[in-house]
Amino acid sequence: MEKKKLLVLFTVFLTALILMSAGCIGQSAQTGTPAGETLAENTADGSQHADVVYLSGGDYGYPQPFTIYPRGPGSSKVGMIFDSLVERDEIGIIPWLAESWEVSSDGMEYTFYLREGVTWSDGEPFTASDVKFTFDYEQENVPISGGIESGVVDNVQVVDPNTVKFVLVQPASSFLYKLTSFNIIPEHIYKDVSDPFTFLDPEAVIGTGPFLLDEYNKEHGSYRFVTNDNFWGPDTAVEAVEFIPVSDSLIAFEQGQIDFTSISPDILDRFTSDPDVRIVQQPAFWGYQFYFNMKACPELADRRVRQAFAYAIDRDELVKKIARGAGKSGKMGILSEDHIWYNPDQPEYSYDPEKAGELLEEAGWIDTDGDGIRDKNGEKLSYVLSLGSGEVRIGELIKERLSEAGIDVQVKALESKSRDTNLKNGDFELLISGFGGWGADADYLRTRYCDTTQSGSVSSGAAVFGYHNDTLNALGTQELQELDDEKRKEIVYDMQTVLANDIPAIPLYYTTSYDVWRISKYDGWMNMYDHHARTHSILSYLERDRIAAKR
Amino acid sequence: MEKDRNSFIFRLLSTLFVILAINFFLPRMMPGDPFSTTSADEVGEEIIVMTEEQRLYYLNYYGLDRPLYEQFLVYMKNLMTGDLGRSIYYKMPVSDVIMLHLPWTVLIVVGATVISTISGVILGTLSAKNRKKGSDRIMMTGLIAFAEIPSFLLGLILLLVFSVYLRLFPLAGAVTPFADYNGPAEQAWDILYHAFLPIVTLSLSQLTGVYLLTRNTLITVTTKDYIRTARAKGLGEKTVWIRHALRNALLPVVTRTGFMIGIMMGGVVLVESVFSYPGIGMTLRSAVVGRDYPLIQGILLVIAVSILVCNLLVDKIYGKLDPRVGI
Repeated sequence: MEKKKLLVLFTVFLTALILMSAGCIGQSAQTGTPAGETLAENTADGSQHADVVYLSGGDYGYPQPFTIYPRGPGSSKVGMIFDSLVERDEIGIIPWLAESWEVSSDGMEYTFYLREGVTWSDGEPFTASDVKFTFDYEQENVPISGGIESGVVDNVQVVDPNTVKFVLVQPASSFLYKLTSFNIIPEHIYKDVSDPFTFLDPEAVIGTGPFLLDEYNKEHGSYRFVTNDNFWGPDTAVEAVEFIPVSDSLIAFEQGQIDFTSISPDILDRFTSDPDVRIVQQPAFWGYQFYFNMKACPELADRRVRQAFAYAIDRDELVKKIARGAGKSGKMGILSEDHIWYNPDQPEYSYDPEKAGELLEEAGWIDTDGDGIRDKNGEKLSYVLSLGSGEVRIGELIKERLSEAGIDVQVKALESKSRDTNLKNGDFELLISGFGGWGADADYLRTRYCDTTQSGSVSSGAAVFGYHNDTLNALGTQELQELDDEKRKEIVYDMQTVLANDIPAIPLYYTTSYDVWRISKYDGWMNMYDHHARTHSILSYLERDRIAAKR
Repeated sequence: MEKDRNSFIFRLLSTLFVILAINFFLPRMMPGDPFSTTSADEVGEEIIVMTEEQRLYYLNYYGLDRPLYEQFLVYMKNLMTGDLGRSIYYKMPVSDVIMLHLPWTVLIVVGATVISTISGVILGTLSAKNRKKGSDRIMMTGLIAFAEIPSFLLGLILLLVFSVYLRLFPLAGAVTPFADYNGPAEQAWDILYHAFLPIVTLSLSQLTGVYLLTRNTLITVTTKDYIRTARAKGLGEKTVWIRHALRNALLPVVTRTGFMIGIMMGGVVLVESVFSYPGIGMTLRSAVVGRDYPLIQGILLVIAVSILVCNLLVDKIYGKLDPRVGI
């Protein structure tokens, strides 16, 4: 008797639940914009000014370079307060605290001519000695982000109050790019601070930048930035920026609590007919990479085997089924097609299981015992694929495709940090990891895939995974020393061709989420040429005139 | 008596030491360290990937490159002076981080304990009084079915219905951001307004247990001789139920309430996540994800100590309710 009643009650509850959730996502899921179909652009003019812009918050630490958290957008909040010598706009690097600069012909000396009349927000003048101080100080106290790693700059010299010279250890073509995130801190404040990691005073956030930190609440994860009236640069187009805590940014956006958010393609339809909402896709600068461990599995050192993987994995399917169309499939030259130096003329690998089979046969992998898995000398082509718990569906699809080519894969989901540790220690066979920064300076092709660099970057995995290519190493060395951008671009193109032939790793796909914002609130959002998030650019909050004029 | 007390204190201290040791070594046995993150957890998330040089610098700065036993000794020594260490992720003293977030958790846990105990006892009494009648059956099946819903799911449903559709309650947080209050009354109201749904969720998840316990104990108690005696003395039904039956039936309920706080401290992690409520549970979660050893140790210690204290309190209250039990 009791059981029956229970059952009835439960059914009622479940039905109610299904109905509720159907009301929530049902209608849009059925009519979601199919992959590839471009959106009709909202051509209406939006507001170019706002008193306050509300954005999704969360605690990312006190916004000075030493106290932000390594996870999340802490560094962009530091950038609202602290300026760098050079900044990034839609196209490239622009002058910022440095009005102009000169590079010596051997590429060893960078001389920066600083803007005059710049003051810190407490009224003290900004000078070349602040720049030198920042560098010296950060050699002792390594900041969370924006520091210059050792082995790049030998020393910094103050030439006169408005001129500062960086002497490098060796020519580094990506040096200027590194400086775009090198935030200058005030000497007159920090010189007395022995431990900046515990420095949470109001003085810790005195900068030269366009905004002041008006309020920060750690426990609730809210920030309020207001215009710095002493700012040397263009006026702020947004008087104040408030980051407020939300549990679900989509709902908060729909209810008008925040003015900007990113959404999944499944719910696009809710906004496409709203004349007040602008929808723009992000550039493809966040992606998933598939790693081979050639040290642990020597047969993977055979290029044909890795190429077979590239043919067998259906990357378009991943974009369609996992990213729901909001992504671009991986290019074997590593750089995404939205990267400024993407080489459109590189070897392509479209989904072709037959070709994969041919390559494996050529390499001597044949299914001799008819179990569907290829083998050679008694060894089976069978691997464990490690990934984070959020990437299981990607892993399952890949497993299916690879089994068609006769490669056996077991998917092993790990907690994120365990996966990272295995990746770092080379303790895996195949592995998937997702990260951002694919739009950054192309020098990362060198640091990740050349095993010549002794650079300590965790992701410079070539040595760890047992990948070695002399041609690539030579190109990498050239690229690092080439100061002419056009020539350097040529080298980077060549590097992509080499990589695409060799497949040291497979970028699976890069995501292109949809940004949505209310144009009547504020419409001045812009993308830096190397970054996917519009809200992270300082220029998004400024008038686009003078130094920051649109190019 | 003196001997008893000594052995009691000894037991308490050794329990504490074991807890401390587990709190210290367990987090350090997880793979990775606070600075070795290379992958993001969700699409579009940004992480700062540290160079090996940076990683070693920070390991040294926080003393994590020293032998484990040495770190443990330092930890124990600092603990003696009341120093819980400094959070690696938040860069603040662990005690400050805990003091920021603990009050919120205490608010919803205590609120939920009070509400679920009181309403559980009331419903249980009503049910026992109307035993085998319709209302008893409906309550019984309804509440048991309810107890099967995991608390985070319940929280999600409440959030969807009351915050998203009806817009009666806030979507997240514990206070209105950047609010200017006209006096403490308005502030208290704002805090209660934000705490309401988390408290209700937690209460509902605990309600059934209290209800069933009250109901069943009452049913057992009411068959006892002393109840018959009380009735025979001609006492009114109300007095019999409240002074004689309920008072005796409450003993196990009090014990349960003590344990309940411990259970809720665990469940609160999920509920806080659903409501983005800035309590200790959310903090623990991010501390584990970020391998923030000092913070994990600190929070686990607070939870362990609060459970120990609750058990002690239960013993004390027990003594008050039932003079036969004494410590």
